Amino acid sequence: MADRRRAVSKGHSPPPVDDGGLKVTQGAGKGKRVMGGKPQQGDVQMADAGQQQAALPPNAAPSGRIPIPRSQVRLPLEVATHLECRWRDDKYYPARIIERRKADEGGPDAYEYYVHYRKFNRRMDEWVELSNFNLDTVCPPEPPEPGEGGGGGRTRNQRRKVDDDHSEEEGEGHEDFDPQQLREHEEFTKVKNIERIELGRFEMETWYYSPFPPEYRECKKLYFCEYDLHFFKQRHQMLRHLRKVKLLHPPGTEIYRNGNISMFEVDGRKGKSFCQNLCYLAKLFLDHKTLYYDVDLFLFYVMCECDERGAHVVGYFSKEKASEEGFNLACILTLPAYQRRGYGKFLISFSYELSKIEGKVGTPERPLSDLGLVSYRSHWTRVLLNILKASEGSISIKDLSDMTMFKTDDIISTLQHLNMIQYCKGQHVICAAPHVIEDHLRKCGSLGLEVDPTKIVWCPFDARADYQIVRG
Amino acid sequence: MSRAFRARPLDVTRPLELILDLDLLDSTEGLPARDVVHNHAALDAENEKPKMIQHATGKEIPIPGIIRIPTYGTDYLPVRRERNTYIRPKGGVGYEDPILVEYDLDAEDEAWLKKYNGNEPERLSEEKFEMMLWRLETSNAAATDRVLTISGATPAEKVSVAACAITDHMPREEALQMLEETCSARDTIRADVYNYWLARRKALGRPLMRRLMAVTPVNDNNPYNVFRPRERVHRPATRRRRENNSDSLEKLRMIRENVLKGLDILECLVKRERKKRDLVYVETDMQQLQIKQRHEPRAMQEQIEAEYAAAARSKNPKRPIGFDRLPEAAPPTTNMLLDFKAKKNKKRKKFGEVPLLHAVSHLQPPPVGQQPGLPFTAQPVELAALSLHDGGDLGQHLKLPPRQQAAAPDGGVWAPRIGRGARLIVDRCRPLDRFWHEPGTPEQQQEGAAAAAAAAAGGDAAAAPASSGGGGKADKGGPGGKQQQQKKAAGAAAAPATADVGEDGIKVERQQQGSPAAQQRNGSEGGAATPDGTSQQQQQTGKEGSGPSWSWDKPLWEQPNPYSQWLNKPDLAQAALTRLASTPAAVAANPPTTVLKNRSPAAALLAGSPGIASAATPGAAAAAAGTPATTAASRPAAAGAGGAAGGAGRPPLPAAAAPAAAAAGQKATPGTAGSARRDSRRPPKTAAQKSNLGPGTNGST
Repeated sequence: MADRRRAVSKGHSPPPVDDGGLKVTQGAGKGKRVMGGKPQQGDVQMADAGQQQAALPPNAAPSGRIPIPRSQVRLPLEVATHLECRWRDDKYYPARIIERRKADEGGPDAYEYYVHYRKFNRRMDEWVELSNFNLDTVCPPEPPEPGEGGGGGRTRNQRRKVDDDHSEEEGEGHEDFDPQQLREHEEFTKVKNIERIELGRFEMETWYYSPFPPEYRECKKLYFCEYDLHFFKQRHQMLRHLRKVKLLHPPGTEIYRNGNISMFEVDGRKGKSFCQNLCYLAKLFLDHKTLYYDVDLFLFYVMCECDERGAHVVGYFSKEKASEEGFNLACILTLPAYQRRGYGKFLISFSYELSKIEGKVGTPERPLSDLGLVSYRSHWTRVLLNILKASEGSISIKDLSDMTMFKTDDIISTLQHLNMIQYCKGQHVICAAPHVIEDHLRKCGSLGLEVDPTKIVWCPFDARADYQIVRG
Repeated sequence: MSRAFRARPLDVTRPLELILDLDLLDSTEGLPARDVVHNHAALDAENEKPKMIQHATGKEIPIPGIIRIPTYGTDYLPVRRERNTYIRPKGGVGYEDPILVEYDLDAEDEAWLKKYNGNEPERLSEEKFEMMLWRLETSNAAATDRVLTISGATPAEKVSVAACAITDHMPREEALQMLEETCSARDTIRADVYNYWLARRKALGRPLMRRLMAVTPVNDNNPYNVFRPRERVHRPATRRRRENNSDSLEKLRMIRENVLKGLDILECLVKRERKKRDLVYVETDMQQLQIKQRHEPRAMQEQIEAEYAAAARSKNPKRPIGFDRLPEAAPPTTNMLLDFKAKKNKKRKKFGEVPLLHAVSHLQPPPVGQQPGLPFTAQPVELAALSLHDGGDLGQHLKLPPRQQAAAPDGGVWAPRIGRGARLIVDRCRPLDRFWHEPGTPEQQQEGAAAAAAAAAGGDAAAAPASSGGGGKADKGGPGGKQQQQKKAAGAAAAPATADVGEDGIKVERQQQGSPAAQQRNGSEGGAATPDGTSQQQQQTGKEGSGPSWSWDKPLWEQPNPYSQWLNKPDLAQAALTRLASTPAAVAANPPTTVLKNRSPAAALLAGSPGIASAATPGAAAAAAGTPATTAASRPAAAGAGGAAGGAGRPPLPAAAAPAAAAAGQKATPGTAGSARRDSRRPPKTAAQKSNLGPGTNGST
């Protein structure tokens, strides 16, 4: 299966990139996190990843661990073993075995291993075969466990505590959960339950665990209806469902259309089925998203590419109907197949356009994912520097906030990140030297797909009007 | 430039100069970091760090793979017709396609259907099967909802797991009827599908369609379960909808009416009070006039009458003549409501009168009379005024023993004060700041005397039966009390033998310190007496038991002081004082009558001890509220202002007083009866035991 995966990677070039696209989100409820970002930093054009050779040193053994001689390596390998594993670029990277299972083929002693590449985000975790490992680099789990390694989750859980290199993904934001269950949950979600999905034109490998209903959890592949996002275990079921579907766009209000791009606003309460499906789907690509709460209190802004086959969902962001903390965005996601087209930036920009119409300063719900942070930084940078470039004299952070609807904290954070807030004669000043600005602007990439504010037909969510409608 | 930089928060409202020339910036080399503090710093810090992969052409964050579906072009057909307008849902209720069959067959349904169709594929089509299952699901849900609504179920109950699992509310006949109406299929097929559906529902225990399934309960914290409804309390306050309808308007209107009616009533009240006031004014004027008519010279009569007549005719209420310079009672008000009301009283305003309600709105509260002082609190008395020093009038009158400088080294021993009922109490020192000359209690002294008497009588203490009717007293002492009594009895019995016995007695008693034995001192103090007091008593008892120097022939103040070793111990005295002061029971148990009658030899003994003060007025003991002063004052009361018997005398106790004294815990018996009385406080049964007690035993029973 690893071979197949690699073949897939090689055989297809990642979409051309002009900048990253995707990102994250959260789903419903109190979800937490926005993630997102573009996969690629800066305006660097990415070439086909499959053909690229990674520049990482291939022999970067896990620091502090000394490999044991090949002759002492015993099969099957234990969970929590550190070793190098061949990635899709045919380079070897340090990795850690998270789980193992009997392989479908290859005899009774054949195992597959679920590995985490320590240099990559968890989304790159995958099942591989033994042949992908460099067995000269095996570092047994420490401390070594006497028993068989492939046992139940408890023992793995204990072992995992020994490891420290995975901690960045764990734990934040789940205060509502029972600790014991949370541990089990983390344990369970270490391994993707759904390995791949088919959605419309693309089949995508998933990134993270998603809490699908129990009957779907054992499926390696799910088939999503492109229009209403119903998912099926088998393709012919999806196709049969497709024949019934008449609604070729999300069940909401179209609030923006420019060229073939449309934005639909779907009320979580009215389009509950669609929104829940969207959340299930989004969780496959978002690590820090929770489906803990229902979608009622959120509005979903779904971005679609429209053609003669209908409106194809390419990404979305969700937004609380009434956010106490001034969030104008909860989760944001560009589906992997549509990333690097500037859609992520479009969604971010769109969220601020809505904030302008509302007249409310907004900020994304935290925390941001790696991709989300990169995307947001780049958006803030681009917008702010363009304003500074055109400004003279002096300008306050509040002025910038009023112009952009960025929260002042975000503005300060961005300028600080760019090292543009300096002192002059003991006073804070903004360092706006033209060449510095140009430099930063070049680095933060293209504008992506631009939002045309004149084409937004939208009025802010009005709880009272909504209530009236509900009461009839 | 100064190096004392520190991070300063950035003022977001302050314009920041845009510096185009980097050379103008302050050098930051060598300076501590001056990062601007912003709220998101902590949040950003916990973000995941992008883990990039370096390529020849740059870096990227790698993502898992994507492939295209080759059959997409045929799976999805190009049937969409683009509209020129933005797509809007109809009716504001979202997009619901009423003809969409929501149910999709799953693998199990397909297997059943395949088996059911067997060789004739068109017996039941997939589409029809889906339709029938969908109808069954939705109809069942509707039926359940209907039933639950009638039974008054809450919305939460309607979506509970139990409610969603019910299939009983749609009877079979009704279901088949429904299928007949909505799906054209043969009866047998309908029945089979229904049976299949029912079996499947029962097997699953939940609806087939996800939309109809129970929602995750709010209190379910299993992270695998998703999409909990958010509780109302968790909803943002901004979403709380406040009713603003005609009901609210009506309510508010009624409140306003009620308030205005209340104001009207108040107004009438004020009117009435004004009338009454005016009546008083008139009355006053009238009387003044009459007085003046009677006493003023006739020549002034006319003028006076004219003056009062004018006052009477005056339209505006006016204070009586001679009283009109008093300040106005009601200053103007700023109360909005009253102002509003006042505005309506235009007629009154015309007269320039303060609006009625204003008259009451700012009236001062009636003055509160000065709280009378507590009549019986202890008031210090100027000692000098009493001439209480040697040879002073009062001193002589009271026949106080001469004050002994040795016992009161600090001088100023007397601290007279006024007690309850204007009794004069003379403390031997000022409470709390002078050493207290612990006088012991009447019982002790009695016992001491009794011991002496017993010694003289040959030590037959056991011979004294509990004869004097004070038997009720014994139980108050508790075990400790009994022990002590026995000890004393032993000491008393052994007294004739040697002085050593007495010392033993002292030791024993000290071991008993901390027991409630002290109750003996004042039988009704309820155990509040202190160990210190106890030890003092015992020591005293022991000494008296050995009593070598006591002489009945000498005046009391010439007797040796049995307490000398306890003198000048302010800490002990202070502790005893503090504890005694907290036992008001002592007061109640010390009726003045008892005190007065407490003229026993013991009292004489006490009075005779150096430095002991005597009490003054009758009943002073009770007024002293349980302090040692009480007892000190009460005994010599003998000599009290009541002028009964002399302090040194040993008048026989009136017979009638004995039972009362015993009941009150005061042993006041004639000296000869001492031993009997003491024994009487012990339960009769202990008499035999007592005889067995040797000197120095603990006397434990």
